Amino acid sequence: MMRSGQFWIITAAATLLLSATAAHADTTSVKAWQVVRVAKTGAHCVDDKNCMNRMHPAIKPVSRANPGQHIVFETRDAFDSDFNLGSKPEDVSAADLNLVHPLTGPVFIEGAQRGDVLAVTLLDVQPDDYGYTVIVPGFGFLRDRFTKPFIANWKLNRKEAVSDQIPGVVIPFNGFMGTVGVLPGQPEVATILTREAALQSAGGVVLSPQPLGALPSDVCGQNGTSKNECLRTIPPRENGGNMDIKQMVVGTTLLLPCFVDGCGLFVGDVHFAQGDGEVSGTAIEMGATVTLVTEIRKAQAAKVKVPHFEGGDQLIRLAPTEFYATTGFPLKAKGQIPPYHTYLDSQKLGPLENLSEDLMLAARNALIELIDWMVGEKGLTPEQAYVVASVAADLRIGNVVDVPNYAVSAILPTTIFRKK
Amino acid sequence: MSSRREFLRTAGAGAAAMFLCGHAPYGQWGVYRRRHLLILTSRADPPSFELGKRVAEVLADRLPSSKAQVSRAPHKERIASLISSQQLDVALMRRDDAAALRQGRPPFAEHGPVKLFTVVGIGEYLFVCRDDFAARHAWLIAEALDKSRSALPELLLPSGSSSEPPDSRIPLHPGALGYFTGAPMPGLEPHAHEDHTHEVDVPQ
Repeated sequence: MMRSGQFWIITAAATLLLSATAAHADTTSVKAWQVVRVAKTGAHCVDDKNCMNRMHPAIKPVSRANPGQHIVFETRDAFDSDFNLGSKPEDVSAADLNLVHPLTGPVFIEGAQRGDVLAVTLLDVQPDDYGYTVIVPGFGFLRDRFTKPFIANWKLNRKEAVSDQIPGVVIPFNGFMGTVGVLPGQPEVATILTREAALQSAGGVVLSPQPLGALPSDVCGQNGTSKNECLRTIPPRENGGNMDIKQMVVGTTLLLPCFVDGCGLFVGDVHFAQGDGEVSGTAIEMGATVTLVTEIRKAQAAKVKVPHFEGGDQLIRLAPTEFYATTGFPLKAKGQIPPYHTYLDSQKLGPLENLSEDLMLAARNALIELIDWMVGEKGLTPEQAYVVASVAADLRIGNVVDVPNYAVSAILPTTIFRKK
Repeated sequence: MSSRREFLRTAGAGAAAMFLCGHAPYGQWGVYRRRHLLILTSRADPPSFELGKRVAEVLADRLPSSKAQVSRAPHKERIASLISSQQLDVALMRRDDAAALRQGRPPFAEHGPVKLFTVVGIGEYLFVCRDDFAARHAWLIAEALDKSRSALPELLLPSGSSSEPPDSRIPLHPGALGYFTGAPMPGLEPHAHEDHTHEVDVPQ
């Protein structure tokens, strides 16, 4: 039995100990989550062991994480560029397109197997201070009209983006991963290469494997073990990738079919903001720090053959509070072949003034109308208006039944315009 | 002058062949290249950019169909990358750098060796291109710059019957050599890429 004196001594000591502990800690030191950080090192992807710019199942994981752990990806801009606030159009024309897109990963998710679904919930996007939107000649939805390089340099914070190249326009923050996906398996690589080669032989725009500038070089480079199989990152595919879907915002969950054990999750090409369509070819491109959490849904891949995504009320905040919109229908001038139809036999299309059930032409016309409106009503140059449309205007399908003239609208939030 | 108007009919012939072989990083990028002579310079070497702007102005004046523009890479390694990967065709490089790229020496070991040729020399710089650059274009560029001597600093050109290049390590491109030795302008070369020109020729 403890004597009374001993009891009080022990009690006093315990009180002192607790007081001392409390004096040296606050709530910030309380950690609720296990975090795996996939850090960025070096100036560019080539300097960074955690970076890749091609996709192939032979690419080794750079990190491992358990489901439920927070995974923090430090990412690079889409061009792996040296752009800055002083960049000009002549810098755009010297971009090395073999370096697109630098991606952080792949990360091996413990317990995930081929045939599972990987559920990826976006928790946070921390933007860098700088972003850019470019018109790359020959690339973009209106590539026949916008044939000169252009760049808007944006100053970013968690609220909005402003640019000296487009004064009077303020773009609200809506960060999301332009590129997020998992590694394809060997059967998928074979299927993809076959179908894309067939399309290329038909004149379609296809990016074949390109070992120059490819990373990781030991797999995809000029002496790489799979240099002729490493997939380019521009087209999204069944494994996700460069989907550029602005609704995949913080709080939404992306479902990806898993093709290799561990899935091989990668992230990059983060966008500060983008309109539905990303019409100039680029959004507000930036480097960013992205936080995700994963969950494995066992043997569900048969139900999720391509990426799906789910969420709650996240899309409400994307809706404009005031807007102006234009519409488009598949109408054109005689002799005109829309750029994206040039690979088809155009003998029939050329003389027509009305195409049938053609959403692309309808979207093009809606966009051209909106650009003309911004030039006429808001005093923007065509290049500025094209960039604004790319980062803020949404191309929306109205109908796909009213033959032959399906309708597309281009919706622009007018709250982006501020006094200069 | 019809020859100048025809400049672009064969511009980027290297890119055209590359596109058909499936090597082009972006087919659409090749379309732009075919319509503009992009003169690569380096942001890390500001005088090269200023010189590039001047050369582009001269070519825009004397050879307008070239649609010459200056292009600014962040550093000389990017110039090597773009030239060796056939994304762009011509550059202004310092002599030692051009020689290093031609020989595949550091800092360009991973990009070379590249069969690099001189069109003209301008002061400390060489206007260089790959061996697949059309002889007709090299001839036309050499002529345009030769006739603009007063507009450029220290234009270093072979003269008369001399065929010596401005720097012995980088031989003259056959087209430029032809101009400086009095050979007639080479004819148009076959242009396999012609069927893709409509991508940017859509009537509006």
